[in-house]
Amino acid sequence: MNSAIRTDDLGKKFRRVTALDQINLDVPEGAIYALVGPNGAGKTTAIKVLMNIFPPTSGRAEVLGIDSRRIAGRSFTSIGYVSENQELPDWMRIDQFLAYLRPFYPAWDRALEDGLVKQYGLPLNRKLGKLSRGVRMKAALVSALAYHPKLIVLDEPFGGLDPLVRDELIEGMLERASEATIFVSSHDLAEIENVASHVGYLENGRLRFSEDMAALVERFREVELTLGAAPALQQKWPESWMQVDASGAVRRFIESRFDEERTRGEIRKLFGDVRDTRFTPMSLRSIFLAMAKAGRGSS
Amino acid sequence: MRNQVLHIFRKDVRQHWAELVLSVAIIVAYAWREVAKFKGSEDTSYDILLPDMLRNLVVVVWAFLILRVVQAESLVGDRQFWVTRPYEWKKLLAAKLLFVVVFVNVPLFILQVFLLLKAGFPLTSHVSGLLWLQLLWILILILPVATLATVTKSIGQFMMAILSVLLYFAILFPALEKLVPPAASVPVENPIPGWLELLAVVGAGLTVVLWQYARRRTAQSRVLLLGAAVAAPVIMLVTPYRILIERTYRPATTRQQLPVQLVFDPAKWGSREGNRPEKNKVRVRIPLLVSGIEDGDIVDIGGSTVSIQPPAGRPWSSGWHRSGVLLPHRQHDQEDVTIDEGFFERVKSVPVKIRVSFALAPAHTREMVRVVAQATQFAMPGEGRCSYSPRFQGEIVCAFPLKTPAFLMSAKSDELTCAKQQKEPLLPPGTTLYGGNLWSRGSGPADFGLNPVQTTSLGFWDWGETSDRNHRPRVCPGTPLTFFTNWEDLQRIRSDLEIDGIHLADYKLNDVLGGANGFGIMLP
Repeated sequence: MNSAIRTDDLGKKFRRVTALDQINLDVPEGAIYALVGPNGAGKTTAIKVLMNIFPPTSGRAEVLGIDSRRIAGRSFTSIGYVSENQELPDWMRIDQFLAYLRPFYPAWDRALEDGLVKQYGLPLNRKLGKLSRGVRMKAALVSALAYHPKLIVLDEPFGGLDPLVRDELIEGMLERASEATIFVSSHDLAEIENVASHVGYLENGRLRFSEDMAALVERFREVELTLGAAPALQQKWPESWMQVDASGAVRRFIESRFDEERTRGEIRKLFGDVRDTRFTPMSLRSIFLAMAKAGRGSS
Repeated sequence: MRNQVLHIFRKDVRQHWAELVLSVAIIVAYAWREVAKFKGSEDTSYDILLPDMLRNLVVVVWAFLILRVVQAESLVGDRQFWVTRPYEWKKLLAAKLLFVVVFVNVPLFILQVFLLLKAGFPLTSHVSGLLWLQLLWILILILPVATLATVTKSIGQFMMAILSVLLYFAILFPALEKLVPPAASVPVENPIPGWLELLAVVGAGLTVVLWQYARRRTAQSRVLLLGAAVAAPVIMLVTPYRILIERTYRPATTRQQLPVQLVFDPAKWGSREGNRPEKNKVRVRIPLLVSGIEDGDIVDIGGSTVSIQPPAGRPWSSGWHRSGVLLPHRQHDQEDVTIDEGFFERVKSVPVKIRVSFALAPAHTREMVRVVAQATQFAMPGEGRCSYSPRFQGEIVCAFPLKTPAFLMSAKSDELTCAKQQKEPLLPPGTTLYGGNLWSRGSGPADFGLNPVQTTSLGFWDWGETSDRNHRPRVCPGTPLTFFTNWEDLQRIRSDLEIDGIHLADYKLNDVLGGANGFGIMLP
């Protein structure tokens, strides 16, 4: 499968501050890729480097087969970019804004535009500067979807929106999923965990993991062990175990490389016979939190 | 999109229609007041000040328009919507240029054509001059404003940038006055440093505009502008002025006839009042006798340098500095020189040897016209139209298309008509009075300004011959005048004058209150 986005050791520094550190990313065509991470992790910087808003300091990136440093002008006829903090021409009304953008895009679909406007209930005669945050995001999204982009890049599109608006935006986005790759960043997993096909976790400028959502969910488990007796405190755990917690004869931890046979083997090696072992699948949110805590602990 | 340029242009017009209407209204008001001025309907100070206010407003509104249209698609920051849209930078730049051309250059051109025609000057012979004015406006207003607009995000940031530029000049000029030798003002052939300074500033501006539109690298662009701001004064500081002057003004050979003879005038001047010199400095005036200047010639002393050799000890030299112009029939002149007080005190009472080197740039007139000033409109060379204005107790005011030409005007004191009518103080009989404008020789085809009709009042320079210094001789209707114009530059040459056995104490100027002017021949 071809990559819609691919980065090789991509790095970005702002003076001495490293915002992105050797990012290796591969977003397959047709994927709905969620780039997640806490605030300040580098998600927006990564997207801005991909969109050639910032030049990379090291490494390289390709977007739709084009070097990110060459993305400009016509390249954006295939890319729809919406960001939560984008500055729109506030003096324009929504209808003027859409009419202004139309001629820039050879593939602009007037029927699609009308459909999206109707779907989102956009007040066409209102000035962009006078819109609420949610309506403004809807207008921006319509302007980024109406020309059938091959790649839709959304930077924190749902931040601060009420659930209804968020669901409307997600619905509109998903309707385009069949014809586009969607790359969406968010610090709130709940927003996207049900829709993303792939996920990358960025923390302190480093990509901790980037993989297929199903595989990710498959390799994380909450493990609860009930031992025969309280053993002496174990000092060294396998690297893949996170948040190990001891309470009497019960041990709880998160296994980040779950493979039932291998995990059971490691448990046996450390604890001998175990009275009861329970493996519980985790939600993406739980995985994210575990990763964040582990990251905070290590930093 | 084929017509992206026009598409963006139309959007900008829609966005800035209010500013456009305002700019047109101010231009119309300015044109109306200027035309009223041509008709001489300036009765109050309000009538005089209003066009100046409107002129300044026109400039401010144009600067504002350029700023607004550039910042409509801001090149600074990472949040603007347009950077992730299919804008092609060359077309965006072209759209902005089109806007500036249509709403600044074209109105400027129309305004200037209108004023020229209203003043009664033909358009056909002045098109190149009007285009030259367009170039000057681009270099002086449009490019600097556009450059700053490309590296700022808002009006506030732009104003801060303007304040920084003003602060830069406020610091730079006094610093340069101290650091750059006066030799910098001596005109030389092939003034490469001047061109380099212009190139540094204009080149940086153009590069920044192109670089910002092509790449939007604001930090780099700002560094480049700072570099240019540093480079320009550095070029001034490292220029070998003495070498350039000495290459331009070659020493006269023994067979060569000098355009002027300058000798020391041992007769001491009656008045030895001078401006107060700088601290720890003393001003000395060396009287000179001038002869040998043909009628219709002038000798511009591009520069002069004075060296003083005492009988014992180290000599002292003033270095090259700008001087003035020598004219026919004016026998007396002087070289004023500012000397370190310590040196002066050491040598003032002993006979010293003085050597004055003059860098001479003679010029010969190709056109001499005699005109009698009239109360009604009369013509003068350079397409000038002059008429008597009752303003300021009466004066002759002349209007010229595009620029005031370089001209010298002379009249005989006994032919002055004002004196007869208004009982002005008498001048010594047979005195030749001079006036005019010699400083625009060699400048471009038009003087920078909004109004292409340049006005100047005809007046005489005062060398102090009048008995009452509060009443200068004036040109009045009926005064016969001789105009010398259309100058041909002759070979530049260096001439030395040596004076032996002079006591500096005899020529020291008495201090009076006033500013320190450095040194130089007293200019009219």
